[in-house]
Amino acid sequence: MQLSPSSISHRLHRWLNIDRRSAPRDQPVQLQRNRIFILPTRYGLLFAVLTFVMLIGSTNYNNSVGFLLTFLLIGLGLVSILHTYRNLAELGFRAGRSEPVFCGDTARYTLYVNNPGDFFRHAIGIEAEGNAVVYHDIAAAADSPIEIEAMTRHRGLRTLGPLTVFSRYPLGLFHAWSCVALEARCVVYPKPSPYAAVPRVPGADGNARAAQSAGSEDFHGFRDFHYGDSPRHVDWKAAARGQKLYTKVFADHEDNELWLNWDDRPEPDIESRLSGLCRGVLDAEDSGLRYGLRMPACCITPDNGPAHRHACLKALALFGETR
Amino acid sequence: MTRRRSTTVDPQLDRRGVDLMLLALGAALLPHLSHLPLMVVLLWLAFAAWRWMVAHHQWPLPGMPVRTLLTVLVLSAVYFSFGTVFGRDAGAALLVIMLGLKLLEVRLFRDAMIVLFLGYFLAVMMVLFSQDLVTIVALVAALLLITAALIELNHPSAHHDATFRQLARRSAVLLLQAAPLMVIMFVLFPRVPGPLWGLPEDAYSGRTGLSDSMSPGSISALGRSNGVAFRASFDGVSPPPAELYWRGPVFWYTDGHSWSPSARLPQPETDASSIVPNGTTYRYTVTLEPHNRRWLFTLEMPVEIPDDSSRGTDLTVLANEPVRQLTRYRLESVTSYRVGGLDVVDRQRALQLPAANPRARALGASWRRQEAGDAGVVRRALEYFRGEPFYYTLTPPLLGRDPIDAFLFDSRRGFCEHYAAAFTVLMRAAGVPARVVTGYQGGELNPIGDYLIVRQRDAHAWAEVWLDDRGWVRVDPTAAVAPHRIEHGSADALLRDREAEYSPFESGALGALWRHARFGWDTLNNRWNQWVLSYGPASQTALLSRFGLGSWIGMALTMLSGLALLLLTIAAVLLIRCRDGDPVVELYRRFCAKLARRGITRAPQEGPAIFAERASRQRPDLAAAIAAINRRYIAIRYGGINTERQLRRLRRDIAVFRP
Repeated sequence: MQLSPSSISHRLHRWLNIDRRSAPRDQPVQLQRNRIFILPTRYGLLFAVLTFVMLIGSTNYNNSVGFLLTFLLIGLGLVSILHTYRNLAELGFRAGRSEPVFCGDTARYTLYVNNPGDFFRHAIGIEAEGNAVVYHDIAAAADSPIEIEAMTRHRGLRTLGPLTVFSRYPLGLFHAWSCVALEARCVVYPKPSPYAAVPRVPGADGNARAAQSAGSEDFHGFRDFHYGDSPRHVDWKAAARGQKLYTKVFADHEDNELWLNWDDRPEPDIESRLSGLCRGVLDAEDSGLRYGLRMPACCITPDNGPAHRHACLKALALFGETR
Repeated sequence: MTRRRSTTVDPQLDRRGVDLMLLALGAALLPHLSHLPLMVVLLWLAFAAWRWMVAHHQWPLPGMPVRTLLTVLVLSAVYFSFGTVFGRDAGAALLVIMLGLKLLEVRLFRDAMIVLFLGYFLAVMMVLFSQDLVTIVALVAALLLITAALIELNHPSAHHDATFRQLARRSAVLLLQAAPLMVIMFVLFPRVPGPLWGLPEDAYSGRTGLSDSMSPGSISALGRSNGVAFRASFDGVSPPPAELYWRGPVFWYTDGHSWSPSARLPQPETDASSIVPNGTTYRYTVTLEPHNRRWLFTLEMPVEIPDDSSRGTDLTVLANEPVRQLTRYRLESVTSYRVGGLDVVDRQRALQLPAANPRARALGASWRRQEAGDAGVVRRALEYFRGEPFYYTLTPPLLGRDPIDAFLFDSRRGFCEHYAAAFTVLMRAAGVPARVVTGYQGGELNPIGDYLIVRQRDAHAWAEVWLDDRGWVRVDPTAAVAPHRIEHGSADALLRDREAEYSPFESGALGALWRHARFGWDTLNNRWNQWVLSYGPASQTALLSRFGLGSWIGMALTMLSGLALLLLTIAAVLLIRCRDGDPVVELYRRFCAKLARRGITRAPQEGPAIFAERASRQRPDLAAAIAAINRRYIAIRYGGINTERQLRRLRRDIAVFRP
């Protein structure tokens, strides 16, 4: 049975009936004032033993200066409780915007930490459940943005779980922590499928056309290489010259509207279809086409541009989510 | 998780952390240099240098077999050089070496923390060797550096590295805030009288001073030592320098060469009524440095002795316990006195002579025949010393088998112990009971603190003879030596009836400044001794009983409440800086917090007017109060009507606001 501070904090929380998940969620700004816990670390206990030994030694030798220095160290330990507590006191946390990412990438949740005091907060550790601990220094009297990284495994509107904010600064003798639950959300798009199988629909008449044939379209330009692009369309000459990889884009000038249809997807299951549609959106956006999305739940009229791209991808990401 | 090789270093322990750690440990080691063997210091430096190279030049850390081998080697080295691994000196050396070895193991955060804690221990351990002011300052500096290293170690952050000055400043702030707590605990923490268990043999070794035997050369050996034996401050007038004889151990028995206090016969108690005072009474306080013996040095002759001491027929005051810490005692003495009777046993002891030194014995016997009374014999002896070419020197020649004869008739060069011993032998040979008294003579006046500093080099030996009509009379044969025969260099040891001569560079204006500084420093040391060093179980009880806190429970409770009070004060001072500086903003924040508790939270981008409107819509019953508060807030904050009265009104409005 480990006696690390985090396991102690778990047990303490359960005992105090403050499970992490039930921390209040209705307020976007969380202040620390009454919810900071503090316990000695194992080094704090070791320090106590050390000073006790010094005290015994000073008594035994009746050594006044020994007492003096031992009491100085004991005072130091006591004062460090206050400093460690103060390191977390009155910190406010607020969720900021986070950029949408694809499933499998690292989501970066932006938080704003408000430090009302006029002193620096050093070595504030923030731990999101299941992720690595990151330490931050928070500047005085400022609202500082910090980023929490979390791995994404599913698509959708992911919320950052409850955070543990802790500090052991300055002397590592005491561990002060608090739980913060924020409504930090991040849109996670589905992972795009590797192959660019783009069924194209001219106009609104619904006729499906087969996959692109190599010679029938006009060369439209270059775009950056995406994973999954067909090697036949890569500009190898440029690559041989030492430049980046580019993919050639072919477009049909007559018909630059594209409908991406849920029903036309060949994949059997939902997630693969979403991945495929995602790939379609990305390719269409890069090709400069005006594309639209037709899904069972919604229909997005053809358009082009980053906002439209986001809208389509978000529709794909949130497919099936009740919220 | 993959298992780390046992020699990879945690990246959290970066170069700066290692540098600071080595510096801090070096500072903790520095005061110990005065007593550690050179080999130990060099070994530690070698280990520290290796660790430094590991951090800066990627040397490898030693693996387990090498470390084990080093440990065994080092342990046996300590054992062989000290003869033991226990005790104060061996223990300190062992700690230093183990610290050095531990350095070679430091690769994780955990190791570094433990090493720094050991550094704390090493620093505090120095107090077993020395407690003077300079050492204290060095130790506090070491503690500051170790604390700074701890702060650095507990500051894992890629972006922001504190400079050395910042770390030192933070460390100093922590120590300064800990200082009042230290003072409270120092005064009030119940001092249990020790020792709690037996002390190692060398616990108090290394103190110079008088010993319990005297032989030619033993007192001249102290002649160069500047160490302070004790300090004495007089209430009111102090005696003239010629009467400043401080009594120490008394020697009765001689084997012709050495003198000892007579092991065979017990020394019965004498009560003070046998001392008849006859002149001025002097009251004084002595602060005695620890010397691990039981003698309490007193101005001849004390009429009253301290409570926990006793006095035998040799009139030396003995404490009940060996003096192992700084001790203060108050006394009253008279410089002219008459001691009571001499019983048969003591008379025999005072006439004891071995078979050695035949010429001296013959001379003494001849004086007995020629002189009528004992006083005449004494006079003859002093005339002999004055008339014959006797020299007084700190470096007398070595004397052979009959040292008294050799001194009296051949070499005629000696220090106070020669003169005192020879005189006593002559007196005993003439049938006059006599004994050798050792102690200190004189002392340097510190004009700043107005007390006398008596040093080891003031150690002196003289004699006492028993005259039937006057009792025990002090005779100092060295005073009989003609002044032009006093060898240069022994001058300041001898010239007791003049002011002490200072060394050459103490003359002139600069010399006066130096003297002043020297006395000021000694005064500081004396104060330090009085206030801190001599504070023990007895003085604590004496001081605190005056406040009604005599019992340990009382002390402990007062201490705990004092600590709690101080901690709360410090907490208040620290946490006050957590609030926003502007009181108006703080008040508005409180207002928003009150509404937030009822579910109406202000979004960060919402201005006060919009928020007030929204809040009023959600809670129409509070609309009036919200509007009033909002109006006043905007007026103060943005309208420039920032008067004290407005602020007070706003504070009151928000205080009574109950959503």
